[in-house]
Amino acid sequence: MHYGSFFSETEYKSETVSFSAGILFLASEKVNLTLDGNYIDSKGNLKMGEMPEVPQEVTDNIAAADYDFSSINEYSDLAYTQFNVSMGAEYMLSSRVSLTADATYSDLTDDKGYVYGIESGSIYVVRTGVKIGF
Amino acid sequence: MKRPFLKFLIVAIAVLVLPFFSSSAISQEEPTSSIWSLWLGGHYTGYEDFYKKVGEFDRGEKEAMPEVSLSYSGYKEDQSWDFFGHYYDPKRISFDLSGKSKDVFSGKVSYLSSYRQRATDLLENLMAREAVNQENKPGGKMFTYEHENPDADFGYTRHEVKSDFQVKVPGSAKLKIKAFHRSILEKGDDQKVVSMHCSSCHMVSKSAKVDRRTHTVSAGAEATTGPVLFSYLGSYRTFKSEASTPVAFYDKAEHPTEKDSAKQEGYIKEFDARMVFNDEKVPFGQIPETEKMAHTLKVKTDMGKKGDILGSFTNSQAKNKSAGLKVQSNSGGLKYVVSPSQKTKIVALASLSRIESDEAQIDLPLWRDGLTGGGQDFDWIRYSNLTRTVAKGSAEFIYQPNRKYRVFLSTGYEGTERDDYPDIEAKGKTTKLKASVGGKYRPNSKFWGRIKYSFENIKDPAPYNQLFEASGDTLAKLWYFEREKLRYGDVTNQPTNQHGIDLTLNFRPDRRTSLSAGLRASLETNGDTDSLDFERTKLQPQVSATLAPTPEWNLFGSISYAYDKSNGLASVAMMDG
Repeated sequence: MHYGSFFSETEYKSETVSFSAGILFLASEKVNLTLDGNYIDSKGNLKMGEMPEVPQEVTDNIAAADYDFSSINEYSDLAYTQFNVSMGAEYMLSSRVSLTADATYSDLTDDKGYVYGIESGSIYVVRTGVKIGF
Repeated sequence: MKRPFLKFLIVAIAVLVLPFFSSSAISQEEPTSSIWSLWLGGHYTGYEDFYKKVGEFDRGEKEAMPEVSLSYSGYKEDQSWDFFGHYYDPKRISFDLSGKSKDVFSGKVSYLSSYRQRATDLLENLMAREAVNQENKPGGKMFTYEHENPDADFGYTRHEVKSDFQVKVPGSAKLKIKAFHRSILEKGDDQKVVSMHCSSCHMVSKSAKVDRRTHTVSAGAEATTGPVLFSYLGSYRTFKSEASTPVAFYDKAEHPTEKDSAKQEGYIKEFDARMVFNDEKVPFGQIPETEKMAHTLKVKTDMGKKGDILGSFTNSQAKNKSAGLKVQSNSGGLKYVVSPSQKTKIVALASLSRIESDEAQIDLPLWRDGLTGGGQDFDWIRYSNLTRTVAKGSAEFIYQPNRKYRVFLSTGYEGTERDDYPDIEAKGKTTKLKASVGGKYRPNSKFWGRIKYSFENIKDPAPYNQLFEASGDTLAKLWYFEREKLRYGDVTNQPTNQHGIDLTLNFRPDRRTSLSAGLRASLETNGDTDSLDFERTKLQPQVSATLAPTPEWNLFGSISYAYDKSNGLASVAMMDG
């Protein structure tokens, strides 16, 4: 049985704040230091209008449906924060040889994951090596 | 193209290019500058919890890896060459080799590989079951899903090889020949989801091989005769998936809950007569093989005080070889730039494009063939919305009385006529009228600011869609195809009016400090539809600063905010199917 459809107006709002900063410091003729990072906070919210009342004949004839619209908005709500920071250092052993070390850390906090589930997680990479110029 | 062919291609390009650098540079006297840099080291990657999103472009291996990079830069008189190579891990390797000789030859070859991890659509967000609140007795009709490969690790490696060569013909400094190449190969595994017929409300997640190959080659020439510059570029691109098309078993079309065998037999007969296929294995998600050929001609003339004219014409033909369909387009454009006085400048643009896309014949079996009230032939022709004629024109007037400020005013028109939209031969037309005004102010070397306001009026933006049938008693037996006729009203998220503002301010009080602030904002509205007064607001302010208080310290920072709000409709069907 079909009784057509009804609709309500919705409002979708997304907000994103992002911040990034960095420092480059030449500590001495032999040492360079870097530090930088960024932070992103993003949210999306669906606001439902008032749904029309379901006609009595519909609930009588299609009693199998509960017509509860209270959680429809949650289906499209999104919220996550991402944080990245990296630091690095270079030490000159001579004019041609230097040692390098750096590290990167990234973290994602997903508060409303639904298609892929909660995608919160973090990853870090530590690197070190020697640079030779010739 | 097999993986060994990729290696062969890289080696072949290197073999072809390196002798040139050897003969043009290395075999001659030692370069006057030669800088090598080698970095040897390693890295360790670790992660916690779900890493496929935060490390989407990481290899996804928790381990230590050796790493190496090598760079070289050299020049001698009017010859120069550069190389950079980086091995990060087995799935992320890059190199870049470029050189230039006597302003006669320039070449560049590069290779880049990367890996993309793909998360799995859990399908858990698709939930539906009738009568969950009926005296704690759930009904039977429900949506179900399954994962054939629950532990699948989706992801694919991307290889990109590019080359770019330009040669001036010896003896003719006014003729230049160009050649470009680009190949993109993607290989791995990805998720495909099969959606069954509504009689079973069932979705199946499968693992499918990825083996996509895109190759583009371009060649052309550029010649100068007096004040006139001619150029031609021909481009050919192919795309093909070498992965076999996945196959899925589509459920038997039967009533999802009916247990009575006699009734079920009737349902099977009824549903089977409505469907093109069921209860059998069917290929799905086929990726079409495509190719595109394009020719572009450009002419540019410098007429001195009378201005510059740039004309261009492009012909292209794209083919879907798998379906036997093609899209042809021809477009021409003219640009005229003239300065009537030292303080004024006019830029005028005009273009006309014609795109023709093949229609597709959709062949279907008779609907409910052999059943009472059935036998309808729903074969139809899909006319493409892409078939259209687009005409554009604009003019911009710029006035700069002195170095301190400049103002501009522009206006434009864009008309798009679609041959078969919304219906065949309807020639639905969207007309855009555009205007913008702005200026730039620079009172001194420490400050400059720019502001621009734009307005666009759009008549009949496409597409408009109709709402489902209205609420009411439609208990009379109607088939789904009959319900299409009951759609009503219009709704769209495309604006008829659009206002925009773009503001940028820059302040540099001294050589060590710079500050920048900007704001972008827009308001889109459409009050022409009967079901929704559409409105969308976007706002994006940003501030950034750099500071170098001493030669040892360099600091920078920025903050931005993005706001986007729009309205729409949520529609709910009242049905028990």
